[in-house]
Amino acid sequence: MSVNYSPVLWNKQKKLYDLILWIGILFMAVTFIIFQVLFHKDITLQTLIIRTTAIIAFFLLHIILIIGPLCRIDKRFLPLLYNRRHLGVSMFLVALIHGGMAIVQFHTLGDTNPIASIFTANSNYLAISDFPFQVLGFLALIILFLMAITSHDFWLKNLSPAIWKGLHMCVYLAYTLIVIHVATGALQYEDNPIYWTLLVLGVITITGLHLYTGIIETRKLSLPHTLEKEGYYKVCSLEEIDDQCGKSVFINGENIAIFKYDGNVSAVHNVCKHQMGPIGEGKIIDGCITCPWHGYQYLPDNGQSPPPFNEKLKTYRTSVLDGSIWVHPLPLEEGSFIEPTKIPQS
Amino acid sequence: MKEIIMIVLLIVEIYIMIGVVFSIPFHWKGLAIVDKDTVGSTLLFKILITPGIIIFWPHLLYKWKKK
Ligand code: HEM
Ligand code: FES
Repeated sequence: MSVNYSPVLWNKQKKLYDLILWIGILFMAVTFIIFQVLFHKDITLQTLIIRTTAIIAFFLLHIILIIGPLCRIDKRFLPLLYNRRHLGVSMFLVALIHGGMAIVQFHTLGDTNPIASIFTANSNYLAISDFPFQVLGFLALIILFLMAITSHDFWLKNLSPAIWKGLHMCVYLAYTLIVIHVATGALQYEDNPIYWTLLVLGVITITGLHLYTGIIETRKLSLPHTLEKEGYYKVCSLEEIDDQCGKSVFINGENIAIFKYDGNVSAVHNVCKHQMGPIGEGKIIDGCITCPWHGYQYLPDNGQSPPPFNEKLKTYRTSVLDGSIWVHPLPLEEGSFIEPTKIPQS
Repeated sequence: MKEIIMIVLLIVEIYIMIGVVFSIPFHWKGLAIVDKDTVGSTLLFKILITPGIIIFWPHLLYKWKKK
């Protein structure tokens, strides 16, 4: 959608978002440091930094992973999603301090290359309580690094959306690695059950939310659309969609966004060209369907982004009969014009 | 074990070195060819995408040669 790339997409809301984020990070850091100093009087500065940054990065990673499902459950969480990228890069920077400090502390004193030392300093790869957990942290950090350096839209376009999405899905692998990193590492020396409780609660929250939204979505997928006429399927009554708003439906495996605007009805593919955002949850702004995630725009009648942009969505034929909206689930080629269905005035 | 790790690290180091060298002509000529939207972008943008160029240089080289 960008005609020209700017280094960082900042606007008023995003600046506020980043400000709150970094105040939050500082607040967590100060609180955690106070606790550590109170309970471990002889703690060294390095250990203090390693632990504080570990906890903060791990906490931020949890937030990042629950934002997606939360937004599906309730749209009021959308502002969090809107700037998740900055959250991700900030998390990486904090994790980098943790990993970097740990390498300095544990791996720069010998004569082995520090990176090689992560792999060789402890080779009990079959042990549990003495497992070389730092290797897992290192691998996770590499994944987070690759995600952070490709977070700009330039990479979404130039690595191709499929590769980019695949790379960024590795965040779940990174999360798994870190959970094991923590369980086989720090938690082996902690006898306070609170740490295990928190770790398990985190895992349950994240998997639970993903499973829950997954189940809801599959249910939606298999919703029976009983009424069918000449290939058109009945979707809902006209009143069910507010003016200038949309509705997402699955029909015959097609993910369709239907919009009602200015006395018309149109339908387009429900997957945004930017990062696969749910277009049907967006609104019509300035005559264009506007994606709720980052504001990519498409004309409702032909699915094309207005010039100078050139994204195109598949379009679907619609019909209005007896106060109900019907849609034909066979898509037309991306960017094909379809005369909007006029809503009969009663 | 240690020998294998040292060899892998050496390969990674060489790969990154090539990426660093590649990023110079890529910024100079290739970037504008691979993605014309980058013409006129700021220095900060170019710095931000440089780590990615160093890591994903084979992909970008392929795209550059194809155009
Ligand atoms: C090069 C990569 C990494 C290395 C060498 C490393 C090393 C370590 C070490 C030595 C500890 C034990 C610290 C202690 O208890 O004193 C630790 C704990 C921990 N690490 Fe990592 N780590 C790395 C990457 C990561 C990443 C990417 C994360 C993700 C956010 C992470 C999260 C944690 C957490 C949550 C703990 C437990 C903190 C605590 O002790 O209370 N680590 N790591
Ligand atoms: S997903 Fe980013 S604008 Fe639609």
